[in-house]
Amino acid sequence: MKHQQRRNIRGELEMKKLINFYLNLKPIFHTIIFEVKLNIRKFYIFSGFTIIFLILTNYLPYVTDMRRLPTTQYNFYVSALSFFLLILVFASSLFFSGIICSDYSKKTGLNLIPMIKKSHLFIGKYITYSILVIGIVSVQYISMALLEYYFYGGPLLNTICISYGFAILYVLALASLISFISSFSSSELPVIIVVNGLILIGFNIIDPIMMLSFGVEPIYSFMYLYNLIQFILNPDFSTMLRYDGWWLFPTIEQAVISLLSYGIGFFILAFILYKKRQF
Amino acid sequence: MSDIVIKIENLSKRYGKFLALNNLNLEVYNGEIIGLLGPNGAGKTTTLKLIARLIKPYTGKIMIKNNQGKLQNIFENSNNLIEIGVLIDIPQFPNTTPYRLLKYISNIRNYPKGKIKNRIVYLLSQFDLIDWKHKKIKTFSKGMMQKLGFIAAIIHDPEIIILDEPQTGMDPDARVKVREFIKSLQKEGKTIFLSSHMLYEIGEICDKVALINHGLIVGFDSIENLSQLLKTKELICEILNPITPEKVEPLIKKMNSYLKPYLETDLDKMSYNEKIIYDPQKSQFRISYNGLKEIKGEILNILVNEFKSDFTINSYSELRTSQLEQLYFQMIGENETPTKTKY
Repeated sequence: MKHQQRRNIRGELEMKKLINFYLNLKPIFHTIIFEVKLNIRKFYIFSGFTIIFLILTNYLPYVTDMRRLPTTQYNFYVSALSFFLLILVFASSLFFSGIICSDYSKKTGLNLIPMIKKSHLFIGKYITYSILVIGIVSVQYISMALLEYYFYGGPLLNTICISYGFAILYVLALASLISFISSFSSSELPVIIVVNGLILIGFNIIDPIMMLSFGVEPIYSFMYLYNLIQFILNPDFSTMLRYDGWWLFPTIEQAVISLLSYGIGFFILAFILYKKRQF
Repeated sequence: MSDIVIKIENLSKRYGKFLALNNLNLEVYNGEIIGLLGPNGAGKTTTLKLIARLIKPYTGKIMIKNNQGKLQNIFENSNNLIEIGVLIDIPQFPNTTPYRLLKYISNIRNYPKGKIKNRIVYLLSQFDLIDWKHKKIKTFSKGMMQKLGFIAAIIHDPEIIILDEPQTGMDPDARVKVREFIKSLQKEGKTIFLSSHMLYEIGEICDKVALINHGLIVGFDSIENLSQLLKTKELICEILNPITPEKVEPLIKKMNSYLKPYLETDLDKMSYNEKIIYDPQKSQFRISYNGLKEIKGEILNILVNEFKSDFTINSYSELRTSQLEQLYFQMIGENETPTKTKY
């Protein structure tokens, strides 16, 4: 009898936990739907831009003069991905720059925060923008794969999947960094300027100084970490030299640890600052 | 109107060195409409933001009824509270539509899924926004956005509704509609917190008024009870036939001499510097007297008997708004050098 009662109580507790779990997921889910509809146009614009950029750099030059086509598929991908960093950083900063500060600068938080927990709102927005930026990355990789097939025929370079995986990890690390900056910024524009300036200019200045003057491998650098996304496409990646008087790319382990540290660390910091920030 | 739904204890809020709220205490009962009244920077919006958990207090606590009927400190645990709807600012989502925004809010507040569409259509129809259901909010006027903000605050049928200047930017028709709607919400048992600069709005719909100045509550009670504290009251006497302009001045002089002992001698300098005013458009006299209850009867007695040949009194009244206006100026004026709270 007592056993039965205990089992019933345990069952009820389990049920309550399940209901609470569902009630916690529901606002996040609805935030994702709302935010996707709100930002889908940005996604279309960036996807279109990505495709146009690829056509201009990796289709038209080769169609008009096939002699210019890279000799290997790997080189074809490297050239296609070299400019993608610009799009990736710019798209990420546009999507994530307002993730926290717009609640204050545009006062959207005054409408939403009394209705939804900050944690649910933040996670919902983070997932949405990540999905949309990863969507842009997917458009880039699918387009590259289609162009590779068009120019070189099958089979496709299977390292493209590993590169794609690292690109996703890179997006998440970048997303957390931008969220962190957004958590104490007054508006979106300073976040966009700081992120683009830091990644596209700042690391280009800091990295050579660190490498040449101090002999430090710049595993902290988003610029350096991006190199892995390109180099890992090489079928001979495992035997490639990483140092040639100059660090070329990080190891897989280094990149995973760095990107995860950025992703998780800045995500937690951003969330703590968001919780503390008031109207 | 028996149980407490909001209890505010020793609430203070600082912005740096500036003390925005100073030891605020309030008890709000179920089904009451409370009006927050005070000049700019008095602490009205800060109070509402604290109740909405948009900011945290420096000291003190706010307790709100939870689903088990017990009061719960919202800064310690915000789970399981009764539903609260908030309008602090107009909706800031220019690129979405009212339908999407309202559906989102209904969903995150767990409003029954099958009823959401009907609820949105009903409320948008009530405020003449139904034709704008699928239009982008950026095309809305300020008044329309304010109406949408009001709808967004009540879409999930909350028990407590917090409204900061809900009628700002609205046309007269919309103001009346909002006022009527607030009254109907009270009939459904909702508790409403309302801040406004519009004395008429507060006077018309609020059961109690909290007068705030310099972060202090200088008065909190019903308008009727607070008006007992009034040094000056205004009696409005509507007369049957209008008085010709040339007769007005001598008549007011005559009235002044008859009513002199009852008229307020130290009238509020901010708004009433004449004791008897004639309004030709409404054919009414506004007489500011010293506020004592028994005096009102004597004034009327004199007007009826001594001025029989001059005019006939059709009706008389004391407007709530007028009382509130006087209360506002009297209490806020007194509080320019902060005093203790009056209850």
